[in-house]
Amino acid sequence: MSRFAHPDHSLFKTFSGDLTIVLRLLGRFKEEWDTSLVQWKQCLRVADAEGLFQIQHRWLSGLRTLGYEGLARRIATLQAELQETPSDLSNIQALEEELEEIQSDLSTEITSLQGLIQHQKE
Amino acid sequence: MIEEPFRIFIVEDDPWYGEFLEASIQLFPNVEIHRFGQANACIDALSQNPSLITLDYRLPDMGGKDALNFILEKNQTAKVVVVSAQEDIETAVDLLKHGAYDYLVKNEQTRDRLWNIVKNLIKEVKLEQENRRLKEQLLQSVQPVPFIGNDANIKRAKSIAEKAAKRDSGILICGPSGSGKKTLARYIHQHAGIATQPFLIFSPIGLNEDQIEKVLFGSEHISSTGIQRETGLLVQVGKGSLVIEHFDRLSHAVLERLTQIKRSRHFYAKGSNYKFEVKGKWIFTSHLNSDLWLKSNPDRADLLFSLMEIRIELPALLQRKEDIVLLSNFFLQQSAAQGQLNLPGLTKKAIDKLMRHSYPGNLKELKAIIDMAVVLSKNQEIQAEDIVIQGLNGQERLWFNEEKSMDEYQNEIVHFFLEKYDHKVILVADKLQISKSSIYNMLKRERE
Repeated sequence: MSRFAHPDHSLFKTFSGDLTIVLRLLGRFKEEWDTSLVQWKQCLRVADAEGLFQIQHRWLSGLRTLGYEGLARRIATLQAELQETPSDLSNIQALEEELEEIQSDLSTEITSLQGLIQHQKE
Repeated sequence: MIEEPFRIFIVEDDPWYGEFLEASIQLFPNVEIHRFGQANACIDALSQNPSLITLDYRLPDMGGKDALNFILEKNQTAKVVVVSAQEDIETAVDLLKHGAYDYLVKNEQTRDRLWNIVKNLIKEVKLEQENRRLKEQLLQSVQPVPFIGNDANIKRAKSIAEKAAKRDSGILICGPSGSGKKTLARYIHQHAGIATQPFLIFSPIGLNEDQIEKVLFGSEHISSTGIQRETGLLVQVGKGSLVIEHFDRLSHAVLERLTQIKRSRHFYAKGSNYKFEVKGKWIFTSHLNSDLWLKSNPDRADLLFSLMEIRIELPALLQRKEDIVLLSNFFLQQSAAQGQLNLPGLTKKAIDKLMRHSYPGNLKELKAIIDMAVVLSKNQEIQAEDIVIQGLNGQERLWFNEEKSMDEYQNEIVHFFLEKYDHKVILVADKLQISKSSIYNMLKRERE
């Protein structure tokens, strides 16, 4: 079962268990994530620290809201480092795999939620 | 009354987070949400008067503090909640000092905190609106009510009303629909020295006997949570005035009960031992003449005379034609003031047109015609073509009701056709199959 459909999940509570809203928001976040991840990789390739900072900043609120607390905390720490030493992107590079995991996690969650909603309808 | 929506602006450059906030706030009934990705777009739209603005601290075109200052400079009533990804207490304190209503950090609690803010603000705005409405009502109640007219019957009605206002008697105002019964009731209310007290109007139209009793006298019943007592208008009006419209539609039973209450100045609500004191002034109205009511209720004259010792008759506008110009100018001033226009008056042709109508809808109709004329008017003065009279029934009634000489009737007809055909004398002569010289002669005679 999708963890977004769990009664304790903040998003589930926020929308009083309305899974269609949760799914819509999750879908929109996934779209944003896919696009910005491509941009993030490009910025990393050309060592555009400012670009990386902006994209990562945009991710924070969504990640926190959706419950990806650990990753949000890590990014927040990296943001401070990025401002201090914009030339050192080694720690940022290490994020790539984790960010891609989020992408696949979101896909799994969306499929699971879709199935759940379909089941509820039937 | 249609409630105004609670307008909220969400200023957020992260489209996903903007959508999340919108989806959260949308759960409130009657909210209108506008989303902006940049501060400038929000500032440009401030004329829409949002009640709440959620402002992202970091926007692509402007910093949060600058955006806050710009917004508050243009709209001091809007409440701005700054939403930020950074947990920086100094920034928060600084923004609050600069006029932010609240400061939220984007985290799991954002939605709940924002939810509470919106809930409290909606309550606050509703109270403000209610307060404004009550203030307007109070202002209206203490402003002198104009009851104007030079007609002898109107002067008489006014004089009786002023005297009746000082007495503790029941009053009946009769007159055709739209003749100013409610305005006269308000005039009495003001002259009774109770202008700041409630002025309530009750109409029994569309209500059955039970509903009428419930609305007027109130009710009491026992529920699981205790005694539920609902007070009726007789009590709600306090020391003010209660206008009971269409008294002729009230049953003998209701009129009898009102008579008893008027005598004792107290009553018990249905199914209750609770004693209600009655202190208000009662003004009854009807489009029926009281004589007509007596004719159809010959055995119950006692009810009429005990409840309504003072009777005032208002004439139809057709019976006070001399007041049409006076009233037209009065309504014109009112309407022009409402639209903040400078309209000095009516042309002679416009007045002639107004004078020729019979006004089955009385003052209400005249007011509607003038309001419409003000809207249609392109010039500084109201022209004849700005006066739009609905249907011809009025004209027909005028011709048949009034006793005029054949010459006067002929003149009316010719004028009617001249107006209809844009004063083309030859065309009118052809339509009426009379000579054009007879039209010219008629107009010449009128000028002399």
